Amino acid sequence: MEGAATPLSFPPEVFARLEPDIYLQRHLELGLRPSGLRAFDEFRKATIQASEPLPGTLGSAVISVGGTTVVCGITGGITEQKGKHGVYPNVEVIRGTRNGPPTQEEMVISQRAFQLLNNTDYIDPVNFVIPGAEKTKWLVLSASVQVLSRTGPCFDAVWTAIITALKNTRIPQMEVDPDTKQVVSDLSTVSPLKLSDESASLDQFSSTFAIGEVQKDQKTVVIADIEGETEEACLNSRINVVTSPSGLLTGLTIAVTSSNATGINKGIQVSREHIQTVLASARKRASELATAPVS
Amino acid sequence: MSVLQDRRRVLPPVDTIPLQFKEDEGSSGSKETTIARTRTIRPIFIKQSVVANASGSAYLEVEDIKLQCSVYGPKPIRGSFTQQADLLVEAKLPSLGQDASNDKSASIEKDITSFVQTSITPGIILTQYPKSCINIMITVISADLENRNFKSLLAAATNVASLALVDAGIALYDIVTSASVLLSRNENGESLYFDPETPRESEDIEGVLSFMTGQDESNIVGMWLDGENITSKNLTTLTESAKEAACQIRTLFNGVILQEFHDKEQEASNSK
Repeated sequence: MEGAATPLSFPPEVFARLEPDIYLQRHLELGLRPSGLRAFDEFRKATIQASEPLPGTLGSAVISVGGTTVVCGITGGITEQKGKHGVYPNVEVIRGTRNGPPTQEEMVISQRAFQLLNNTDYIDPVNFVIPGAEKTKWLVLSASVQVLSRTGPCFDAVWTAIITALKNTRIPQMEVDPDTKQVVSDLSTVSPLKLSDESASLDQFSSTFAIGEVQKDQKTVVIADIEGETEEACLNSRINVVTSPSGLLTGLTIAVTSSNATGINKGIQVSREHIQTVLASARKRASELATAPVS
Repeated sequence: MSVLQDRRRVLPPVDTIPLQFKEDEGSSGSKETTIARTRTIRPIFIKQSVVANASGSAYLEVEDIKLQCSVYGPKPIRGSFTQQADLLVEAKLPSLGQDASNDKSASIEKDITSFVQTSITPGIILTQYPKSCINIMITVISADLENRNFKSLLAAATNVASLALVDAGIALYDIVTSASVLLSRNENGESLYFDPETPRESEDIEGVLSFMTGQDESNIVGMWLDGENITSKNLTTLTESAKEAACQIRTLFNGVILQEFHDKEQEASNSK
């Protein structure tokens, strides 16, 4: 035919950037994921390093999940403000921008971690009391988290890093110096964080799932542990579960955005089965992480 | 007294003072064990391409010093045309619960930034990248700033930045390598140490020098000396020995870069 346009052809990585939605759909239709050869319900392998605390910290952890690397260091401080004791997580994502205000992502992750840590009473308040200054001084712990390499949404890895670092944190013995009235800590006698009762455990792990649609078959799929630009950009409906291996929930958020993949925009169909699958899968992931070897 | 709390970050209350630790008798003993090596450098662990969301990156570890460097760019910049690339170096110390505006760590970050920037700028062919910027971000994952030699940290920071630039595929005149040296002076005479662990004592001279050792004349591209009464003879000794140490590091880097290149090539041919 005269004047017929020759079809344009792009290599996959260019096409993924130009038309991420179509790129994602073409994968999902075949039962594949853009981020690689993982099944929809498969998580990436996590490696946990927490043998010896980094210098200057009371406890630390390095977590790598796929290409994401997170470091968390716990340090201590003394405050004189009543009721302000506790654990303060501050998350930084290294992105190569100038020192400036934290990004939206950093603020969201930090706040979420702070809420989760302080909503649960697993950490006994007695940890933060200083002998000899019970009514005037309290211990605060800062968890400073750096995401050194980021390949997608990173709350799960950040949370695992905070939890693992807290599990390995050793609180030094503290006493008030009678002369200076300052709190002096002794690193030769240390104890782990005390938990509020025997059933309490810090083994609470976070798993994030995305809800996607396969346009062609008009069905909803649940995709675990999303990674990469395409998955992050196109899968905006997420379910986040924070659970213990036994299935005790400490956090659950479901955020469903309107569907545009179907073109008819009638909303994403999330059924009871989907949520049950997600909860079971999160529980399985939590027990995997709880028993993962720590090097 | 009311101090404004940074509400965008989750930080402890503003009045928080870091824990103070009892002086440990054991720690003073570590000074003795230091300088057993003389004209050798400590073993270095290096790895390139460690960061997924950067153009290039490298990780370097020398005993307690753990550094990561990521290079972002060359990226286009907004605004008017520039003849050559803007190079921005930034260093980040572990914040460890301190406010980001902490004076002491801010000044250390500035020292690292300025030394690395001075050292590596001559190595990069900036004119190949008009109207663009290259960001270099050095993250100090761990380092003992109190009891260890700061010059050795500076050398490590320069070296990791060089490796990350190579990994990012940025056009270079030469790979800059940096070495720290310490000239110890006491009643027993002078002795020289490569890659010192401990800071200098009163009479000593310490320094860190960066070289482009691939050039015929081994140009010095960065230098920072600390010490009193530096004679021209001392200076010659220091520069000559730093050059020797920098060459040792360069030899090591050449091996690693060739190996990583070889691995990448292999990977590429396998995937075809």
